[in-house]
Amino acid sequence: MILYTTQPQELIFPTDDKEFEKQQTIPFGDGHLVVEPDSESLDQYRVVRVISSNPNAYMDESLAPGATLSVRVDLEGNL
Amino acid sequence: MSDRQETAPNQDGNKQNDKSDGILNKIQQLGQTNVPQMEQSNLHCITIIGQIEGHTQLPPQNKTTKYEHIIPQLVAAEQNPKVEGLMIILNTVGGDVEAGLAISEMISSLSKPTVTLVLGGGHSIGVPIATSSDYSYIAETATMTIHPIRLTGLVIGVPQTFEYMDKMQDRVIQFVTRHSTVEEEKFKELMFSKGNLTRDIGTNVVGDDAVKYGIINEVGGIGSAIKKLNEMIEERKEQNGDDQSGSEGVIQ
Repeated sequence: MILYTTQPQELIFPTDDKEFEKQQTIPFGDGHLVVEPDSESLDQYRVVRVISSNPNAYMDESLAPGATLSVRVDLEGNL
Repeated sequence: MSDRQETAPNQDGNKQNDKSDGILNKIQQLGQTNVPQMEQSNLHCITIIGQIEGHTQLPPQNKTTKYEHIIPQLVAAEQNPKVEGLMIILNTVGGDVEAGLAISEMISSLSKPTVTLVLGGGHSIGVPIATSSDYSYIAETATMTIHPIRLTGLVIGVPQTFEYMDKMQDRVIQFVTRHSTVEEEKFKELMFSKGNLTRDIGTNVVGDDAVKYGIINEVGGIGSAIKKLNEMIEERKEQNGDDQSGSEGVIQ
């Protein structure tokens, strides 16, 4: 199918809301991380976005967008 | 939280695999594998992007600045002694008036030096946020749309609503004129001028003009903004040093 249109692609085929529902915001040292579950393994989360006022938080490789976090839950339920 | 507890922790998984996957993902997202490390920063930076979200949550496709994210960050920056200055970077289309004014008031009442930098756009309610800092910069190509506030949806009690909107608009005008050198008359003129915007009244002010009208202090980028912020931090340190030695003298 070819669509000849001036409309941007994302307006015609919007991302399914369910894609965003998977995301959750979790606190970390200097702010928050938006993460979504990894499609391949259940116990892993992928960082989507870093929300922090500390510029160093964005320099941390292990928390950079695209990095995977393994789920490790302690007794308080912290990640 | 609960769903994360349900997924049993399985830490010994294939670690080697994770590592290479991590690098792969990073290449996809950032286009590089290594991000430079740096020392503890005395500046904190808050970005105000997309729409400023008010009491209703916008659909997830929209990029939003949420005040429940921004306000605690401002409180933390004010309270943390290691944070000496705050940089606010704006690229916003505007949004909720009260949320925007709340953020502006928070920034203007911080005791630490603050610098705002408008990149791209600081439209609508982004204007008071841009003026709320101690010193403001605008990129040469950045723009700010100044227009009257408006309301969408059903209105019951038109005269009362009109008066309410008028008061709300006054709050925005008062804030901007108090925190920048723009004259009230000039700001209103920009706000109500016709023929500049399609299907709306107002003016789109570009970098240099924003400085000319006195809304923004200077045209510049991140380099000049950080330099200014560091100068202000030094000044504040000197002042505090003087105060302390003065008070010591009194005690003795």
